[in-house]
Amino acid sequence: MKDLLNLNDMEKDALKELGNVGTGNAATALSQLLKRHIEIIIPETKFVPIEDFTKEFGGPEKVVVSTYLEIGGDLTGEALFLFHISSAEKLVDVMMNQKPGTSKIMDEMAQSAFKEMSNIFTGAYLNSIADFLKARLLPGIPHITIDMLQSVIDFVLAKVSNYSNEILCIKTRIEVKDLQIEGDFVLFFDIASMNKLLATLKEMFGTS
Amino acid sequence: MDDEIIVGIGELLAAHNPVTLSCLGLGSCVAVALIDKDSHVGGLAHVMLPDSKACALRVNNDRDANILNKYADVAISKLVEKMVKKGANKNHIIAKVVGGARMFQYCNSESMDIGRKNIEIIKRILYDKGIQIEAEDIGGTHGRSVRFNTATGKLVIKSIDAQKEL
Repeated sequence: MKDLLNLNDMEKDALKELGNVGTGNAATALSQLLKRHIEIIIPETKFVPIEDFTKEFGGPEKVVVSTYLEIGGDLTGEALFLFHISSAEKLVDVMMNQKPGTSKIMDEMAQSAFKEMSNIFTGAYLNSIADFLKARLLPGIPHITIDMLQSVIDFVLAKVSNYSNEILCIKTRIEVKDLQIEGDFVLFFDIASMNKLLATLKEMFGTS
Repeated sequence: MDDEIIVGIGELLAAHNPVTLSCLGLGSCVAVALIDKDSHVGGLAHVMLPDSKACALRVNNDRDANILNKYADVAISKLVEKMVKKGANKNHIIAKVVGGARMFQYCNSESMDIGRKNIEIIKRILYDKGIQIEAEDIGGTHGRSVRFNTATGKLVIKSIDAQKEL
């Protein structure tokens, strides 16, 4: 089994390219949904040690709005959206054509809108990756929770960490500049899928 | 307030001086607090997974062995050992257990059940070791932070909308 910590630069670049492919399509879908220009920060592909993971996202007790989607098909993993409450609420206001400050994320309607956004974004992201890899990728139904960051992600870290003490995630920053909306989209593949993915990328890019 | 020491995910710590040991943002993870009230030795483990037999990583040396601390079986055994070294009487140790939630209302896949599995195995291990569970705050669908005062044996448990003591 390939050790994730020993990826070479080519493999890392290929993974980054994969992130770029997904991001472009997802940004377009999100722009259409919000009828706004969406500025998406270039995704980072990072290896993050388990114990440092939450530092990347603002500390273990930071309260976040999070949606979780399981990814099935030829590659399996999980997608997570992590947003500050204020950003999530602003996003929902734009989606629902409401005055800023109208929606409250604890309301079912707002949660449903946020889940819909997650669904559209993930769908677009995975579709373009699937086309690129000629693989089948199926996003599951989005589930939402509002809680402390560490508590929201620990089951994902647990799942991956049977196989590795570091977590590989493809992280994309979502920003709507003129509305000060920002959040993170984080993609994890499990170890078997990551190996499959690297093998496919290796074929495509001819790395050895 | 005493010094607060964060016990990170997959870590464990024992102390014989009064100190606050904390696990922040537990979801499916479980905080296992052990205390010997006579010797005032306390310990806290931030357990992530139930069983070290599931670990697919090679453990070649002592430094590597720490990666097994995230498993309930290894974490509890090591914590008891460390507490005994610091003067605890094995037969006087009691436990308080917090966490093991299912954060998303969804249970199709096994991975979502990690919290429940953690709790089940932790209870079995504690039973096998003859350690009584004095208090627990487990399951549910919300995150928890735990602050454990080793001098009093009290736990303060904080969620985003409530706080309680165990």
